[in-house]
Amino acid sequence: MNSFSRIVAVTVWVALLIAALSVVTRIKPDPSLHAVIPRGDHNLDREVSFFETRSAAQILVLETESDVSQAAITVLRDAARELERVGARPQAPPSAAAAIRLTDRVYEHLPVLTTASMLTAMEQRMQPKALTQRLRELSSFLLEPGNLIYGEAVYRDLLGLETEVLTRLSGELSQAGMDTTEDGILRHSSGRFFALLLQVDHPPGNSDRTAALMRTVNEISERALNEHEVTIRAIGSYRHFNDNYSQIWRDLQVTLPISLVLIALVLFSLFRRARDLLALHMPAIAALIGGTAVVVLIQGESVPMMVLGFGAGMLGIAVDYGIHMTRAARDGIADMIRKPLSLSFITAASAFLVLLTANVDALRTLGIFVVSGLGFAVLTATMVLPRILRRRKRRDPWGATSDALVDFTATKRWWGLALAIAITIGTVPGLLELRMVGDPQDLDGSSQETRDDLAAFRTRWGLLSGNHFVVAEAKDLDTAVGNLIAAKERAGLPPVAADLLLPPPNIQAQRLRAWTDFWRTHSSQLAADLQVAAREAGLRASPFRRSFASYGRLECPPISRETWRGTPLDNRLNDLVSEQPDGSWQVVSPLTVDDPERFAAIATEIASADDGTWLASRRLLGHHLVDAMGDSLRQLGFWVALVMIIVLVAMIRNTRRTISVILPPAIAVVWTFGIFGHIQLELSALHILVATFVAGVGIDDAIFLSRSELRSHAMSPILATTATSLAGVGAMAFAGHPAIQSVGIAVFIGMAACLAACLLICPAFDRKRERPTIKTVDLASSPLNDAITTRTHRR
Amino acid sequence: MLRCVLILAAVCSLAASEPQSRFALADLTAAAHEIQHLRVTFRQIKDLELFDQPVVTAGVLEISRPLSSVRWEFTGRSVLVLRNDRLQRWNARGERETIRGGPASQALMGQMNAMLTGDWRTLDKLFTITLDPSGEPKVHLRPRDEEMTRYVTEIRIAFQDDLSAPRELIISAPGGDLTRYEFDVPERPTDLAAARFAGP
Repeated sequence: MNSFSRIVAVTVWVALLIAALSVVTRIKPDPSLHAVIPRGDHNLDREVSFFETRSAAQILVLETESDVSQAAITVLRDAARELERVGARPQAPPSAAAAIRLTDRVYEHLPVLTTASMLTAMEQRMQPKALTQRLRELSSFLLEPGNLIYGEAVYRDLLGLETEVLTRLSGELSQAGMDTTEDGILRHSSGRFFALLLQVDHPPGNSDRTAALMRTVNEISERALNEHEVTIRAIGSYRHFNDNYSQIWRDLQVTLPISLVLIALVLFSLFRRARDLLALHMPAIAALIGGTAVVVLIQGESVPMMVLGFGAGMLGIAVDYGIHMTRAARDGIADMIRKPLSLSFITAASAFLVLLTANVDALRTLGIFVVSGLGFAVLTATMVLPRILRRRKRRDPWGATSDALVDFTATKRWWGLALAIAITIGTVPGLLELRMVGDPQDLDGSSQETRDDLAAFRTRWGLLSGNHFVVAEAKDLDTAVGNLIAAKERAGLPPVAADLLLPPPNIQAQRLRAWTDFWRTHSSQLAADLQVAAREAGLRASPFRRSFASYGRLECPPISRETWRGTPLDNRLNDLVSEQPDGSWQVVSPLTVDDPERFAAIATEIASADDGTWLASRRLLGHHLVDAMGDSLRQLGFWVALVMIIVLVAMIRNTRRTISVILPPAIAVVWTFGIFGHIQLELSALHILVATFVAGVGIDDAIFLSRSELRSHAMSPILATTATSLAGVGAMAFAGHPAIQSVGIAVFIGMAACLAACLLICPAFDRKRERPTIKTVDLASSPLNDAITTRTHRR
Repeated sequence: MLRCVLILAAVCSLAASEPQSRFALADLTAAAHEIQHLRVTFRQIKDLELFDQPVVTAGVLEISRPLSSVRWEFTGRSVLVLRNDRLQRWNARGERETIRGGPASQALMGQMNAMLTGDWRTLDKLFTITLDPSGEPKVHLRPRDEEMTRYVTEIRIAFQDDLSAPRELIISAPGGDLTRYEFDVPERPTDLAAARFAGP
């Protein structure tokens, strides 16, 4: 290879990469989950949209624990100010005017807010004895020295209907129902705990902003503990998301350096020259940059983050191309290696091309990413590397091990096959024990402290975090509310929130009729009884003329969304009632049920009518996403396997060799998941991608090992690729995050199984019955034909 | 020269038009800083439409500035304590009662905080505060929000000559209900036990 050719190759390669890099810089990683939703799955799409956009689901709670309440309140006040910078604002406490406005609105709309059961209960309260008692209570209340401004409220509602309606709403007015400070800080009855509810302006999935938010919370917590001896705990999905991100980052920090050192050691022990070590990474670099550029050009700048993550892992195969070609170029057999490398690429590319038919955007993008990335890799490996790497006179540092393995597989091939059969028999029963991950929370990387804090918080305060909602959607608000009420009745859930505050017109009309009928019947009797009761209680009856004026009204303004404007319920209703971009309405009601069985029963009941009501739950969302992804991958899995087989049959055109290429990776997958079943590791959708990776690497190995003339040459690179995969991805088995650890274990087992299956099975399909005589020769000095017949075989 | 004389005359006439010791809210804060502990007895007279006769309740107000606490006791009826920004109430039987957030408790807390700190401007959020035109230590509070006027129309407060505490406080409600506090001359004890602010 002359210098000019080398310079041209490198220049063209670098120019292409610079061009690709200029495209890659436009990339905008998209953390949204929409990309993993199958097209046409409107239910899942709306569920993801719900949690990504609804403010009711974007709540962070700061809880303090301290012996000194003033210090705790001060800390929370300061925290509220500081956290505004990172998008978390305290839910404003109701002003005095807003609180009064609320009582006024309730008073004005008493006829349509009073239910039939409330009217029935009122009859009891209107009995003479009960009335006397009521008047005594009211006089005692007004005489209470601290109650200075309640006279008018008492006079205008003798029977306390307004209070009763407000009490019913108090579940919704959770803050108003609790002991609060002027700033809206909730005070626990024990006096030891305080809580501040913060509305966050971004969903938890926005990793950068969530990380900034939680970093600020942690700084505040540390300061509060050091300076005021106040413990602050963050409660809510933001902490869980951040825990997961942090755990993944910590895992990377721990495993990546170890992996890199191990990979470097492995590669250095095989190649021992800087140029070789740099060259063998060129295909992977080209794959990453080129693949990403193609994705940006085809799919646009917004690329799902998970695609970049998985795609980068898949492109690890590109390192294998580099190892094989670097070794071959040094041995002077680069031409010979081009065909198997091309076959490996075509097989992998065909498999990933099938993903382009997927109905999940992320999988299609993944297909484009991997196919184009591997394309860049194979071009770099076959076109550039041979031009920059000279044939070199050198012994194979791993020769002894490789030769021993080649010798063993060739001489003991039937033993090897028997061993493979035995392992298969041993692992197959494990497949029957395989279980899918039952609860996606099992893959949650939240720390134990986070989980404990959440559990303790729930015990102390009830469920404040916005994780579960009943959702109703319809063309108009009244229908949506009506459907919500019906759904909750079906599920045996009490009315709260929007269904209490926004009764549909038919219900309002019903209530108004019942109200006017009731007072037409009872007014005069109540007036007479009141005179008697007032005398008995030593009070004047005259102030209550305002009550009669109110109870006797025959008309009432209808309740609408506008009724509650400017009241403390306004913001809450904004969270719960919203007009959708298409003009339809969505109404939600928080669900404070956390028992899984009860939860499942409610979900079934709510879904039983096809009226646009559904259950939005972070827990169900996790299930649904995993199921959807799993379903898509399972459906595609068949076609991927079929396409790979067809490509291999067409390309190899030799039945025996085709089987020897296909069988080992298939058996390796069986072994991997069989072992999974035996050691009771649960499967998730991620493992399906792992199976694809294992199968891909297995096919590569089998392509080389199925050809006896390549086996001895390819053994060291194959061992190296397996060792680098084990060191790189398998190191994740020691991660702290359960999902990453699980993938790491799967890759570790899978890669080992791959190598073992290829070594044990491939030689058995050799046509020749030759016993190799190992002759360590100087490859670099041998002619090409000598090099490929280094191991002479005897019949 | 003539110009100087005219300016001097103008300045002198402006100065003469201002009373020498006109009351300002800041005077209350300054007075509060000088007094650590304060005790003042009072009578609350509730003249409500519901009752034939006004109802009179005696009580005592205690303020400890070092403890950031106020105790407002209505003898034989109830005790209110504001301590470290937290308002608590006990009934006649000495049982603690929950205080719900709302305009009444906000106004009450605002008043007690003002007594504690001497900073009556903190009530500015809820009320428009005007000083009595006579220049005497009296203030008039009117609700800022239309809604609140349906429950309270005006609060008038007259302070002691030494500005250490209120002398009279009148709360007027629509319909004619009136609550009046008459405060006696305050005592200035050297100390008030912390236990006084822990409950009845």
